[in-house]
Amino acid sequence: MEEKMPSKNDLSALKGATQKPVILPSNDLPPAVETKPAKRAGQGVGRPPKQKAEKRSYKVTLSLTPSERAKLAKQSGLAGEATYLYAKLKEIGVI
Amino acid sequence: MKITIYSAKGSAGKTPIATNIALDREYAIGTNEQFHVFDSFIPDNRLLAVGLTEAFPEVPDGIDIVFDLAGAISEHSNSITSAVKQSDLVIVPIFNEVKSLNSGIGTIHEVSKFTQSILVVATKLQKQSGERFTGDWRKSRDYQNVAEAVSSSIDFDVPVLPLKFSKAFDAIFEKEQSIQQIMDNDPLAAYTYRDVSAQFDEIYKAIDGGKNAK
Repeated sequence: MEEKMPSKNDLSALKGATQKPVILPSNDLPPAVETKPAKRAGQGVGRPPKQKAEKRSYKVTLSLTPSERAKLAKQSGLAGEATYLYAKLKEIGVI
Repeated sequence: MKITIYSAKGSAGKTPIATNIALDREYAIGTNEQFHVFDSFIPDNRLLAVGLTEAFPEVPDGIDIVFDLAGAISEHSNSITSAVKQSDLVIVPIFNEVKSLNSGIGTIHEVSKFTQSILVVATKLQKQSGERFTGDWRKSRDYQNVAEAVSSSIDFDVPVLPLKFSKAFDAIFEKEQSIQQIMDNDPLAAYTYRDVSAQFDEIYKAIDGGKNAK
């Protein structure tokens, strides 16, 4: 630490009387070189990405009368109207 | 004035006591600890660091110094014996725990081969369950156990002063100021640390009273 206080209780004259703490020499071996396994292409951290597939992102709006809608709902049952219609269009080869 | 703070038991409070004295009174510090903390806040010309087996040089009488010593006294611990021999007062911190009491009493026996100017500071005093006193920490069971152990094991007069457990001792190293200096700068600290500060005043009175004890 730099001297910042006046010379009260100054031990400078005694410093030569004490030996500096002995610091043991370090081992002369060359520093160890850290080796890392080569990174393979596509190998990153964590789960590999999913294959990019075509997403069903395009939406079609269909207008129905209440009775048509009731008929559709009855046929689609628990599957849901959009799911039922999608399956039917696939079935007849429209999509 | 040369003061040694020494106990063969670690964590008894040697370094906080030594540091507070050095900062309050601008004393020089002598240490035999390999990894001491004084470099950052004690000027180089006031710091004397030696190894455990190295002797401290004879410090001239005009210089005020506090020796903060670690390790056990043996034929090789020249740092401890050289500091104790030239000190006007040896402060032995002891706290109310079996190993500290044993080690503290053993330390007093060892130190008494060189000097009987010894002051015990009962450190880390805390209120135990059911203790209701205020102010006077001599009423604490922690203090009374230490005082009893000293009086029953040592056959010469060794005063025992109380020093309660306090966060103030952490603050000394965080702020690199003595407890009094912290209190002077912070009214809240002045209130919080009032007991421990008063206890240090008592230690200073004992130090000043021991100036001519050698």
